[in-house]
Amino acid sequence: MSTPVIKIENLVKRYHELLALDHFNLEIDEGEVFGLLGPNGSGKTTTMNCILSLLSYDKGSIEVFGKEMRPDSYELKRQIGVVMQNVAVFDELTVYENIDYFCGLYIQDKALRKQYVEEAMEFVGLQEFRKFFPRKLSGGLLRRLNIACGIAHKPKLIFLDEPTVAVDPQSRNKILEGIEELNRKGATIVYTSHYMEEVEQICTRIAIMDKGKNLAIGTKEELKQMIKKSEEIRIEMVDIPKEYLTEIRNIKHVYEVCFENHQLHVLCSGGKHNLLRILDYLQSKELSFGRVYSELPTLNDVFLEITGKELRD
Amino acid sequence: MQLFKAFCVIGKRRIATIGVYFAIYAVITIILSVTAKDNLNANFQSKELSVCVLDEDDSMASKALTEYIGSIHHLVTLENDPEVLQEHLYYRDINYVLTISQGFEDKLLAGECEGLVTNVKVPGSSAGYFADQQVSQYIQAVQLYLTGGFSIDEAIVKASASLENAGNVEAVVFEKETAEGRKEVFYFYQYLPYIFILLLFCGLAPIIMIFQEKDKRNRISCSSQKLWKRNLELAFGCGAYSLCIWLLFMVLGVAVYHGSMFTEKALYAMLNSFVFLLISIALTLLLSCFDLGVNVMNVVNIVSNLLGLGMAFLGGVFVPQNMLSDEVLAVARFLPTYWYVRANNMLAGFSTEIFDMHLYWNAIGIQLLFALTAFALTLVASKLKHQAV
Amino acid sequence: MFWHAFYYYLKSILRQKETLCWTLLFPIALGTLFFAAFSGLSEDESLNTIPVAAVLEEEDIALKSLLEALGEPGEEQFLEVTYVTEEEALALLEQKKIIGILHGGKPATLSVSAQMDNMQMEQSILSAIVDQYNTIYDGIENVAMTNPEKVEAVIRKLSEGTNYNEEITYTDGTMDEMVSYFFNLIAMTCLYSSMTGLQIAIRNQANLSSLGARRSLSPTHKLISIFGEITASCLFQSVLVWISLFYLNFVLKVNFGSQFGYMMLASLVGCIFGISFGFFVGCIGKMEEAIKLGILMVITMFNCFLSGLMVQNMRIQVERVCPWYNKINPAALISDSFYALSVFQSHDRYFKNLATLFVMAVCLCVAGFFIVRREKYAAL
Repeated sequence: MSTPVIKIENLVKRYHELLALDHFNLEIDEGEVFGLLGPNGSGKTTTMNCILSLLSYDKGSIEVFGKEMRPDSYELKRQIGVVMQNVAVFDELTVYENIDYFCGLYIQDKALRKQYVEEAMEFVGLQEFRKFFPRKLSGGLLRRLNIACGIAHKPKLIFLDEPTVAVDPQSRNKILEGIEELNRKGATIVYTSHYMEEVEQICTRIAIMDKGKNLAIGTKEELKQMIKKSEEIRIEMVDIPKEYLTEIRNIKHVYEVCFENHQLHVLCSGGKHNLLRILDYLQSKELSFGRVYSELPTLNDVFLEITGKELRD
Repeated sequence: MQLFKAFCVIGKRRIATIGVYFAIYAVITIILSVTAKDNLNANFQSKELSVCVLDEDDSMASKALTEYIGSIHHLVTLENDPEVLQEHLYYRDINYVLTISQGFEDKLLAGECEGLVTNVKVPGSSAGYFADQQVSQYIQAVQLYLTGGFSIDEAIVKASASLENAGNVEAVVFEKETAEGRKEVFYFYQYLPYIFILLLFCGLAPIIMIFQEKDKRNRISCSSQKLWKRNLELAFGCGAYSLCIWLLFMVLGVAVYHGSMFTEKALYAMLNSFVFLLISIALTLLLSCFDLGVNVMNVVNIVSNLLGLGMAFLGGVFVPQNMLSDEVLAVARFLPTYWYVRANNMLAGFSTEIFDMHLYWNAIGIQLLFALTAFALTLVASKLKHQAV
Repeated sequence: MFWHAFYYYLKSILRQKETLCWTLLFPIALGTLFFAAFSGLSEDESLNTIPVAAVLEEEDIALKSLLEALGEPGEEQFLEVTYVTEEEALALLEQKKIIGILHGGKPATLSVSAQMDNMQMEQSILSAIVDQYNTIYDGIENVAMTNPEKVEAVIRKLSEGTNYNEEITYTDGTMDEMVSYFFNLIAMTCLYSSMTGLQIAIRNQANLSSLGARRSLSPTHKLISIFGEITASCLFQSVLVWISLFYLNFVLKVNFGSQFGYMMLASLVGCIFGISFGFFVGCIGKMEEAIKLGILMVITMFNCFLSGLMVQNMRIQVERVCPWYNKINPAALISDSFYALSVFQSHDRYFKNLATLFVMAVCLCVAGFFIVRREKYAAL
């Protein structure tokens, strides 16, 4: 078993009265795209800042690449890239100059740095904007610049803190594709977000956080299997007698049925072919129906079941 | 009154910054007004100087001269070293150095009187020239008697007797001092133009600029509120802030000068300061129409001092108006500070102009015109900016 | 790393056009205004004709002829004499139309208005004229009584107009007092560079800006990049001050003396201090940038004020009340260095001031570094 890239044990962080991180534990292995999912205020950014040694913490230990992470761990820092939530670039420098500046904090060799900067600009698709100043860029392009500044030096471990906030769909797709590409090239990614669709799309393993606690951890499938709901079926109908609802309730794997607003709502737990069984039943009773929807549980459902809250409150 | 409320909330949040500026400038105002008597009357003649006499002749005549100087000034003993003397002159420990060279008495007796003594004085000091006059007068008196056939002893005695009554000047008092209150009050008002411009530019302008920021301005424009109403509310906000500053300074004045703040002339000065406050508000509003780049506060600080000090110096706030050249005053007439200072000088009796109501109201009127012009320019600039979006 | 930070920071500040423009414009514009305001001042020494009233009796022949001589129209006219009665004279004095009233008699006397204490120069001159008249009158009378044959010799001697008292100076440097305003203007401009120092501090602290956070995460030691940025800004600010100095000295021809190189050095050290001070203030605490800037500005203005920027002899007042403050007030130290250059032959005082400034700057920088090197924060 190789050393985990990041290992957090029993991390506790307080802001005066508020317990921001409550005995938080985490292990991230090399090559993962690890998602930290949770609502606003759950402690995602705090966790990240603690790992990066920007924030002091009260208890626990943090190891990166098998070594204790400290503010003066310069060798470790050289291998880390960070894309922060707030865009952190210089207004007075052009796109090229910004990337060159930040890359230069990591790479001293001028020729190598030049190559890296060009590659970074190509990676985020900002070649045509190399001489633009940040205030002339749209939100999406600015975020791309922010990313380029964070990864130009080709780090092995990359932190991305809500990189797609206020970003147009085209830029968002590009960003997500880029992250996958970086991962393919060998980087370990830590991705924090409250957008479950993104996390579901690119993350190999996900931790769900709330109130400073690690509520659940695992792959998408593992997480979804943690909850009762495995399928949600909605069928448009004009009407259905009450006794039929009870009968549907008794179908195998069905644990909840309701009918409102001309929609039959059925929740199933586990099993296969649930939809077929329900449709068979309706046909057997000669009940007509309209559109049929079958949805697999989302991470939101996982979160909802675990905490009783929506991810986006 | 949403804008006004927002203005007040933002103002409250920035109270720390504003408080810092206010505190320091209040201290500066007090120091200025307390020490001003020396400063404004730049040609003030202190009757008694600190003089160092270097007697290289050590004769009866030289001792008599030294004694005479000692009777009207304060003698200081120092070593005869130019560097030491220069140092003491620089720090005003002494104002005047008189060197009586060897052979003084002999030359005096022989009648060779050109450059009998040498002096070094604090540069530009009229008190120093006055001392020159006294030294020359004494020597001239002694020589007069010597030429008239008297001996050196008699000449000295007679010269000293003659000069005993020198400098007796009657000072006629025309107004009752007690009703006048302390003149220092007007020194207090003298410096307020500079202070107001600084405080309003650095404290008020940033708040207004927040509302002028492109995005916020656009968002406010989208509301159903009319432009003139918005401007009115902003104006109320500015007015409230500025009034607070003015009142605080008036309270400060009362705390330091008590009843002197309420004499008839002092009240006129108070009105004068209020009018200048309006000018300062207008200028602040005009400033906030301009785009000052990224480092807004840096530029605001620089501009405030540039404008504040510039107008103050040209208008005669720091350097008395009667010392400025005619050309400068001709230009200064186009500045509101000139009129403010002229009115204040007249009220205080600092200038040769005696108090004239007509002139006073003239100065007030001109200042109000300045304020109106600046307000008008602000409206134009604001409209242009609005349209330029 | 040092040069990387230096290069990019220099590029960055050169592109802040408004700041660059105003920082350069400020001393040039204000210097020009000062120059204009002071240009007529030296004429004050050569006085205008003094208006007086003379209340004379018939016997005051000598006094009358003296007044006529002094009041003779032409370029050399010293007095403007009006011959009136006592009541008329008092009225004129109350209306401030005359400086004083000369009364005939033995001795002749002078009355001035207590409400005209801003005209003391003119009043003193009138007093001196009266004194001299009385002394000479007394003298001639005495001689005429004892040695009447010598009277002619006395009068001849008096009309020789001998200059008994010769003024010398210990230095051939500038004696123009108004130039101290310009010294203080340069000092203020140097101290304004503290704004740049503040900016450096803010940009480098993770708990104050996102840029600071990003900087903290890099493997470059923070102190190296900060030092690079401080060096860049020292260079930048000094050049701006040198340009203003050049303008004042060579274009406006303000008499700074002839040691331009030393003045440039003094400006450089002044800027180093300013930036260090701004950096230090920027490093303390978690206050908003606006408040820190406010603190910087008021301290700078207060120091400039105490050094005599607005009122010339404020510095002397400070010397009387708390002399130690003049030794640590950066504005006073900078302007005093300029003064020392123009007045003194030796550079002792000049180097002493510069050394004090430099040491203070180093201490502030070190203190700032010490605070900033704590790279972990309780909260961001």
